[in-house]
Amino acid sequence: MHVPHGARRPGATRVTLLTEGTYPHSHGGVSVWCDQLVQGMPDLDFDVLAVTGTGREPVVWDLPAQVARVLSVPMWGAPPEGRAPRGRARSQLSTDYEQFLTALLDPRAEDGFPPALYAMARAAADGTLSPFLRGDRAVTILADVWNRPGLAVREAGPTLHDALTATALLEHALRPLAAPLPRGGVAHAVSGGVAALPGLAALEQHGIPLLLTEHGVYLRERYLGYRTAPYRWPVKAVVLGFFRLLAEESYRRAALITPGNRYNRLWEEQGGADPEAIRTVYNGVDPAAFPPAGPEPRALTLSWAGRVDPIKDLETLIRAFSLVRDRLPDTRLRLFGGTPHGGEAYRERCEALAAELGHADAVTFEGRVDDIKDAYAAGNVVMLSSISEGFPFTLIEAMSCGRATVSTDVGGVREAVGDTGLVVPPRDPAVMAAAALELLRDPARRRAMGEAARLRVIEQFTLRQTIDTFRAIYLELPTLERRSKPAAATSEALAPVSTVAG
Amino acid sequence: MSGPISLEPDGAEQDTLALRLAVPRPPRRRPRWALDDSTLAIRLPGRGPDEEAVSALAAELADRVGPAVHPYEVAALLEAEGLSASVIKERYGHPNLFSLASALYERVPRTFPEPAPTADPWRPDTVRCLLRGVLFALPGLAYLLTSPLWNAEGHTSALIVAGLVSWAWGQALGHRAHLRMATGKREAGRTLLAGAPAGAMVATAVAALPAGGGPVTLVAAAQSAYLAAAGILLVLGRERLLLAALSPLVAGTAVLPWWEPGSLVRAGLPSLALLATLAVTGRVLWTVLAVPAVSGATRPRLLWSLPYGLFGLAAGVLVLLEGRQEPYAVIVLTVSMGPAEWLLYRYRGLSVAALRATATPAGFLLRSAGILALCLVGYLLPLLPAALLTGADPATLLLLAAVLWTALLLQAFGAAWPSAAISLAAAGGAGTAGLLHLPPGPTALPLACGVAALCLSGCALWFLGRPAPHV
Repeated sequence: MHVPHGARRPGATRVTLLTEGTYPHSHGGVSVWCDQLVQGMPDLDFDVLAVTGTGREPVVWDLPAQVARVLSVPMWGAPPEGRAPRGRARSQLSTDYEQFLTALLDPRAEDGFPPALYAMARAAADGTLSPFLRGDRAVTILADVWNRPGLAVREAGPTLHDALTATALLEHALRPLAAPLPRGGVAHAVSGGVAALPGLAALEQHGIPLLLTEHGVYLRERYLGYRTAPYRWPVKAVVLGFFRLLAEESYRRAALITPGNRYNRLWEEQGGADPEAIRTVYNGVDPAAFPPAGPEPRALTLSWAGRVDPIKDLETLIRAFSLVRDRLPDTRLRLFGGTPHGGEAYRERCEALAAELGHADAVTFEGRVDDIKDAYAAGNVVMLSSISEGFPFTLIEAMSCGRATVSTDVGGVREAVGDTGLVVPPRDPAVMAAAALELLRDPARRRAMGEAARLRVIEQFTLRQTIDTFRAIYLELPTLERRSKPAAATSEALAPVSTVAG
Repeated sequence: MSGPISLEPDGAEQDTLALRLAVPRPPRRRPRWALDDSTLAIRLPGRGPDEEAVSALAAELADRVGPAVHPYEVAALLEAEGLSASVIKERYGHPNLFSLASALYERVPRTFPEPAPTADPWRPDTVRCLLRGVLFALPGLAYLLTSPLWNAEGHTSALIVAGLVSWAWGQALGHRAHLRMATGKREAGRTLLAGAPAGAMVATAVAALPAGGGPVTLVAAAQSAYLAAAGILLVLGRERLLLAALSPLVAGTAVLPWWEPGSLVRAGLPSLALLATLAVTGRVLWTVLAVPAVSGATRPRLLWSLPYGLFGLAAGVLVLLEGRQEPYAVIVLTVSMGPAEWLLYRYRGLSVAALRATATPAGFLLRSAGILALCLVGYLLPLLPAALLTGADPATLLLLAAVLWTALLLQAFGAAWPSAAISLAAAGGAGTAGLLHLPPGPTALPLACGVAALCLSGCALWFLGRPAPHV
């Protein structure tokens, strides 16, 4: 689906946002962040290359005039148009694909991945890649490669069905390579993984500098996501090998990597990123949009805001609340936020848990609220119980509203909170309950922490800072020399760009 | 949905992290690294790994580290378990997460656990398949009931021509509707709503023009309307409704051997069945069209459905040629379409099982040949006693059945053009020989069918004996 939008202005810097499953077709933290960037820079031109599921997802954000066009790149459904290669082109692509697969499966051959990936990109541009991967030759090559002696995958007894499955998954994963590539300005991948594919191809073919932002660590999430996938070991080895080498290539080739928290650097540096080319840029909020929440509720209340989703680990929160209530029986727990499609079962499980622990009356699911500020105002203490986060908006919003917080030590949470709230280990109800009790029993400390939290946001995490940082990066990246070789330093030139965080 | 798109629409890999929480679990006991506080104090960083502690952790996590594909996966696992950088340094003496993860990955031998067996996606719905066979044949009862009312003998050819048109049109329309179904039910419903009446009108016109009007036009119109409506119900999977609508025909025919019901009943019951079929179809279409439209979908090309229509025409001609000599053989063939469909599903299921059991394309080709032979024998063998029972020539019937099944098999895998071309060639050859009384005379049909069945089986081996079509 191609959505032409505002007219392009000559001379304006052009930024191509590369997204996957987020902006502008979906809600959620990363989409909010994209919208903030786009809205905050009316003087720049934006294109959006959005990897989607079916390609028929509606655009759910109001696109401002600076968004010139949105191009949806569907991962499912009918494959991209094209013809299978013939003759010499076919044997060349076969050779390249064999090198590609060998790199995924043989640790000694990983150097072959980048050239093979760019060969795949050229074939995708010619329209021959997808038909080739849906044919028998590709399956046969994989069956040959992973039955070579000495490879770990051979031990797992790969079958022809595994070869077919893995080939089909790769065909889907490589579809973004067939998207029209940006030819000017800056490509900004707002996550790692397949969204970065067009960015890497544009860098290779047209020298477009690639900026990579990671809110979570894409590769880590793929490893966790595939642990329960119904695939045999050889299929996982191929697909996760692809995601790993793709992450490493993205880390090496990006002109600049801007993780949403310092914690992510660990994976990025391990994956081959030049430490000098990593610059943490925190999410920001507008302190005027989230002013001090005012007086606390009279009845002691813990509040929580977010999507009702297993990743938020509400079960630990409810268990912790149960322990709090053993000591302070009049306390309430109010949970604000909608239940996404498909999450109903999880919500019912949480409600059942609250009832089972005897707190059905004190735990309330408030649903979606018009103004999320009300959720923070509703609590004496605002809770965050997630088992995985990047740099959560709900946390810095609550901080901006001047509320004390208890949150789990995941992702960038500790960096966000500093000493203006309590941070506890994830999935540990007892410690979380102790922290909540500590704050509930000490109004003066809550107040002091809340005031410090707001000050911390104003000093370090304002929307203005985030936008100014990215504007400076967008304007400077095209003027820098292209990072053609891994670890080519660009950091000196970028030194004045970001004062937000190192 | 927000965030990474799974590589397959059904989300084979689960949404991030939903995994560990998919099954409610009791509160975790605290992990070893959180329990053993006393050792924390005595371990100082910088002394190298504490092999004993790492081994203990490896033993504790063995079942989860074993299946990992890379040390990174172990690192992701440790992070998700809440292992912090300070514990890694102080408790295990490793400089960072990845160092500890690599140590665990090397220490635990790889295991390759098999995923839970999935249900066969091609498991046939046996009752539905058999019911469909019966439903293809049931409308024939209408001719039995109404034949005394009109000059059936004189107008057979007009009705047959109309039937051939309806059949060919229905095959193409059914295929197009299935393609549209990928977008949504409503889109498929709209295709059927537009295509089915058009097909009925064309078929009626083809019959009415040579007959110059008269009662045969009415019968042809009824036949075409029925076939169009029944086609819609079969595509949308409402076999039971169609069976209910045809119940007056069954009731009427059942009493024929004992009782002459008279003209009114003979005409009334088929009309009632037709009206019921039309009413049910209207109702079904109404509900299907009430589904919200899907925006932005591309329409499949009309050309894609053409070979399905051509095959319908060819199959119709071949069955007609057989029916001119052996009318009962046609009934046998029609009813056998139910088991034929069932076997198409089984072929697919067996092929997937064969893929799982082989490691090389050559091995699969061998198995594929075996599966094709097994399914063909499974389809043809029961037809032999049926042919003998009805007095039809078994060779012709079996060869014709083999043509139909292999052609349907190729169509099911999208190889529609070869299947249509070979069937058309066979129908053309046998039909020309029959019409013009050319040699080899009566053996033309079995000969044509034999050659076509060989070609189609060869095609099936060539196209389907390789892995890619079985995705």
